[in-house]
Amino acid sequence: MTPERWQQIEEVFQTAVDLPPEERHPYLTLACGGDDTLRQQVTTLIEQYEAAGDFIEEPALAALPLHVQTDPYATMPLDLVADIDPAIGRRIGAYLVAREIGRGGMGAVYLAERADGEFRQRVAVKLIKRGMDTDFILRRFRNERQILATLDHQYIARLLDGGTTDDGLPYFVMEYIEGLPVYRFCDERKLTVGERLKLFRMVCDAVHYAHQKLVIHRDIKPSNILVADGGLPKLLDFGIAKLLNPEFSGEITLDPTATAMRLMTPEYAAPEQVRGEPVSPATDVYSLGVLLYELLTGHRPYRLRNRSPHEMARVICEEDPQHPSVRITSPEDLLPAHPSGTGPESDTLGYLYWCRGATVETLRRELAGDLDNIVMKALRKEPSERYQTAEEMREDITRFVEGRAVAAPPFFPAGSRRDASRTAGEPTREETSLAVLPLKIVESTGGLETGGEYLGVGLADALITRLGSLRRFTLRPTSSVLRYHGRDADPLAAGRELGVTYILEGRIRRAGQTLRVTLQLLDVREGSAVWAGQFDEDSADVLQLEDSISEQVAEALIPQLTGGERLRLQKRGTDRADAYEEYMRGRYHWNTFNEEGFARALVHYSRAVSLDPDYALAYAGIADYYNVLGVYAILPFSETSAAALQAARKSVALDPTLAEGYAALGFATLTHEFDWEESERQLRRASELNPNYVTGCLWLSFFLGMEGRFDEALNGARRALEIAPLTPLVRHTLNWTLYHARRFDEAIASARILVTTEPTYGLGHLLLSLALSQAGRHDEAVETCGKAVELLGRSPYSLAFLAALLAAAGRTEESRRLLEEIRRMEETRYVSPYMLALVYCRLSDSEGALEQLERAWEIRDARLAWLGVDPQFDSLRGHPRFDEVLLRTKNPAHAQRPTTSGGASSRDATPSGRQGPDSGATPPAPRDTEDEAQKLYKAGRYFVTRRTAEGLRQAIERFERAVQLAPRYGLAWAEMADSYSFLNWYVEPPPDGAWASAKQAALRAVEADDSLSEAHASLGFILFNYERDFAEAERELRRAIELNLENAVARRWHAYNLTAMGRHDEAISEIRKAQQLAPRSPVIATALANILFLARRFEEAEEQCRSALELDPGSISTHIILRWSYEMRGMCDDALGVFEQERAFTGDTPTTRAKQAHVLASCGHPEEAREILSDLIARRSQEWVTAYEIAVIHSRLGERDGAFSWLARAEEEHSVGLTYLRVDPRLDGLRADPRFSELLRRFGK
Amino acid sequence: MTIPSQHDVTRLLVRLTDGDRGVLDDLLPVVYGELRRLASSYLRRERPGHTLQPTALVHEAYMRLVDQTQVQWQNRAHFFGVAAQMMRRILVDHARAHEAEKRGGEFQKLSLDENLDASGGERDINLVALDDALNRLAALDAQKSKIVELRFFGGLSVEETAEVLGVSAPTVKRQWRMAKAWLYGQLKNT
Repeated sequence: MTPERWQQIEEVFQTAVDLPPEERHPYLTLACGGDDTLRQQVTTLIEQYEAAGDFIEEPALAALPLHVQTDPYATMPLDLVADIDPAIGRRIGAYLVAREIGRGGMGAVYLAERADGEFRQRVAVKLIKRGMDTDFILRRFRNERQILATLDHQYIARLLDGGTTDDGLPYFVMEYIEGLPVYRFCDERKLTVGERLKLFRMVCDAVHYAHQKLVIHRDIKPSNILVADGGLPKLLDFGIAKLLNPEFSGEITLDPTATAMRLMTPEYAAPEQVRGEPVSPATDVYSLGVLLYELLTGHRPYRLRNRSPHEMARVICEEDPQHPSVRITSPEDLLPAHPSGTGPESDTLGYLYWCRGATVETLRRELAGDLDNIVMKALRKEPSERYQTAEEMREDITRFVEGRAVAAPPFFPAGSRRDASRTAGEPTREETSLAVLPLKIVESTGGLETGGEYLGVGLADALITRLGSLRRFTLRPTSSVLRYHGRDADPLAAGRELGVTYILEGRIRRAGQTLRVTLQLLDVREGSAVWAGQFDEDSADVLQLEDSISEQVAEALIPQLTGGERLRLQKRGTDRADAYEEYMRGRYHWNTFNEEGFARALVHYSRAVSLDPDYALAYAGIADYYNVLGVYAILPFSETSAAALQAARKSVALDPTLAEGYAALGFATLTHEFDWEESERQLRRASELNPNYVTGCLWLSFFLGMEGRFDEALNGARRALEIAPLTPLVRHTLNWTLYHARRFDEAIASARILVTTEPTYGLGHLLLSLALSQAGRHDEAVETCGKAVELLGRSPYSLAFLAALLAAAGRTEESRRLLEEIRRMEETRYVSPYMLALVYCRLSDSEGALEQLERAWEIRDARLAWLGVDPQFDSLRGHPRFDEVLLRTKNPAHAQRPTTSGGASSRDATPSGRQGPDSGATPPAPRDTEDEAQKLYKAGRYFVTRRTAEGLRQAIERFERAVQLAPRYGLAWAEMADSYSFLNWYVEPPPDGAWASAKQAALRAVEADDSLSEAHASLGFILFNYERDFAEAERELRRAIELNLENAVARRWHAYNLTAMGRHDEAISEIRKAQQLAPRSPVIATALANILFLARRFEEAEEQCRSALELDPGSISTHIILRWSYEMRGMCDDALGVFEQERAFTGDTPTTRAKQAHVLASCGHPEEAREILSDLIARRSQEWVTAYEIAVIHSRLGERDGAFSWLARAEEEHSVGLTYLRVDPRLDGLRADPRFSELLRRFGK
Repeated sequence: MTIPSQHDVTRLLVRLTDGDRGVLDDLLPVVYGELRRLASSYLRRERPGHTLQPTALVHEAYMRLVDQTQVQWQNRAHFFGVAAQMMRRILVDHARAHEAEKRGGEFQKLSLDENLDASGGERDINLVALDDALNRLAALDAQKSKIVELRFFGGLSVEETAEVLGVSAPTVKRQWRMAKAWLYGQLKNT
């Protein structure tokens, strides 16, 4: 067996064993396809799983009640350890040591009995461990003894005696307390909140007493507080206590804080302890706060992702705990409970409530408000905001117990912007967003059919639909919340991940025919419950349940619902509960978004419409099923086409207000009838009906991309990503669009985000591999595609992509073998001819490819909708047979060029001049020549958008040919100029003469059409970047803007030119104007960040980088600016973090290493930076890095000579960064040098 | 051979946590020696109804070998990882040495007799065969093999295992059930 096979088996196995036995068989049939061996292997494994029983469940050496103490809550009899402990049986002073009762880092505590016959007395003796008698420990030990000697309080364990053993080690004797740790005592005695508070106040007394004696305990925790039978607490273990008395300070200042940190118990440590700052009585107040939190809630205040010191420090110093009244409903991170024999199972919420003599409701009521506030006041990060003494805290609790007003104010987590007029329940409209988490099924007791889990997702899904229909708040779609299904997620953390203001979460308990649904609506920012409710319904009437829930939730958020809103909320789609239940099951399976899920969904949707033939939503579901199966080439179009259209039409006929129906209809109309206009109409209608319907957004985005309307498509995809940030398909749609827009680097970056966040999402890997292949990174592409195939299964669809990428990588043999395998599949299942054509095309078998494409048209293969923009077919473009097929698909892209972000509208101008009244100024070229020139121009534009060196060369070639045919084609000249200019960024090292050619072309453009905005912009761009004639550049760019006020590109360049001159305010105002023209353009957003950075407005630059990254998370330039800004501000961790992201995007290239040297130089690793730098310089002839960047790294390292010599070189080489020499903050270390003034004098006019 | 002091072990462990895998060569013999010493000391004091728990051994070895004031929290996880591997070697070596004897060796009796009484005598785990199967499993899926080592030989709980491997507890549980099913099949057929 191979590891790959093993993984395949595991995937099927893990899913199968979770299914009820009767569902396994159908699942295996689906999952294994025709692979009988696989099926046999999984079946055997499942049989073994069932037969294994508790095989190897007991450790190799079976258990015995022998406990070495690690759990702070357990008691500690150590029979066996005693046998080998030399202290046992020893006489120490007047006492005989009996057994160990506890141990810590440096010593152990033993139970001992008085042995001098005077009287019987049991005591605790504390001894230093053998080998631990270092100076430091001895000092601490004596310190503790000294402290205990000063304390005499009924709630503090007393010091009885002390001395030195025969072998010279100090010891002391304390009263022996027979009791339980306080937490355990409270649970075992089932103490109510009131009783717990009473006990806690006694602990406060003890701590306050110590404080009065100038002793800070520093390690208050449940295991250090024992409660004896009588219910009185005793505070123990002053092992790391600190005496504030200056008299003793000589002794304890030797105690390094770092060591003290290791000694304390991190869960109870205050932020100042973690940070190593001075402690005060407020430090113990904090630990008391943690203790009270635990006693009341049964939870630790913090959730730690791991126990690394860094994580602990971060959480303790930065995160606000949840309010106790909220925390008690979290089933996660329960403190270990002590099984009681009666009552609910321990380690459950039920047990937690039970041993406090409460229910969730009564407990919540008791804690909410005053007790929340008291606990949170003790837990403030800032010591001065806490109770200043244990006494103050005790007093406030007393006030609470006596029903008086407490001193603690309400607590709001940091960063909550709460204005006084706003109360919970009246959020302002624009900031309200809501997510509904899949409900948890608490227990499915018998009597019901299997598959109860659908209810948790189904109910959430229905609530999302209903609440979303109000359009009063943004709802996260089901696909975004599914990741929390079956996970015990912290609802508030989920809320933050989803970026919502409110989150609704709850549980369903099924008992017989009754459903009990408990829900709470949480304000994510404040961590408090806004509303909670419990609903009991007969399980047959889920609809009634949804009515009640959605109405109450809506009312909690919107004080006054209108009548129309109420009606919309009640919209059920069907009045038949059974049909509805089928629909919900269908949605559940649909949301799994895999082939098996689709199949199951169809079954349920079909049942739903057979139960209620007027059920519009279910018809829309059926239509979507066929749409998706067609697009993913699972079924042939002959089987899906009619069905999809029919179901979608039925859906909109039944309910013309349903976005779901129109979206499905629009997509079906396109992929089955290739009626582009009608399709767009339907998709737009869907978007009007419900702008938040994500599937609708996606279909529209696909549609626009197919037409080559990439800016619109990207806007749509980004909009969908705002609604559903965590849905893999949404991110995938964005990636898919970037890929077809030929923005491969961005597609790669964005796809990497997807494969990182959703490593098992096959389409993510697939798209990544396609983009890598187009970027020429063939080996990575093939490897990534292999991963995609693993995840997606060996379907003809995934294999065809792999075969195509293998062919593109030159691995022809492997590709052909795979192609054969795919063709063999045709015998048993549908294989899309479009996909076959793809493979032939990449194998350079044009004949084979064209044949398949023609066949694809015959059967109306829906994927043909992408033919106009699919990068993989580029080698066939222009072939008459290819064009013929494309023409038949009626794709408007056939006669339309792709556009870029922020592009100006006059790019549509014809060779004979711009369109419009004055176009007659230029004598028109003969019609067919003009057509041909325009075609070439469009082809050129198309290659420019590929944003690669090769693309630019191809583009230049097309523009050259265009101006040969039409010498007065100004726009072609201007584009040629830009393409030559851009070569300086895209080709390493920049080719000689690129700038000169650019300038020549720009001058020709102006000459051909002096009124062409683009021509002046192109010229201006060259003037400031190449000639550094900023004044002349300004004149040209101003002219370009005058000629076309909407030329966002010209405005952006103008802004850059102003920045280079140091006119920052003007630059910022100009780039903001560009931003108004193209508000969602990531390029302009990044330009603004860049300009802010150069203006040294670093914090604003960072903020702007973050908004730019929201528009385009994969932008490399944005990451670079963000990192620079962090570096300038000395925020090294952040800078290094950004660098790691950049490296993940771009892999190891010379540029990446230059960036690494840059960040290391800025962040205190000069040696490593120098090493990389000298390597870069040594290899510069083979691996290009601009001289300017090398100069900058020298500057960051404080190496002026190096910096100046490389700046001189940058001047010679016309390094592109040099434009901003005057303002670049990274060169600040050089500015005082006379050589810099000299440089500036030479530089720029 | 000189026995490394507590200080040495602590230092090695800190370096191991810092990513210095080279120290394993120095660390393993010490841990191994200590575990073996402890194991035989427990076994000599064997009393009716008393068997021993690997977790206790490992914890105890940790207490003895490591200066806990000097190590950070995650060193513990590293130590347990090493110790589980050692426990496996000790137990399997022991079982191998007694393989000739019918019904296996001392350790097997210890681990199995009571269980046999409890649940019908079906599970007579052949530690040597299990060890071989685990090696085969490691070739297919190293993490699963490690999980079995930590849990079965090291006696670690699911949570401790998760901590050692730096994965979540549910992941450990899922991996465990697959490994268990497969190993069960492997041992049944030997």
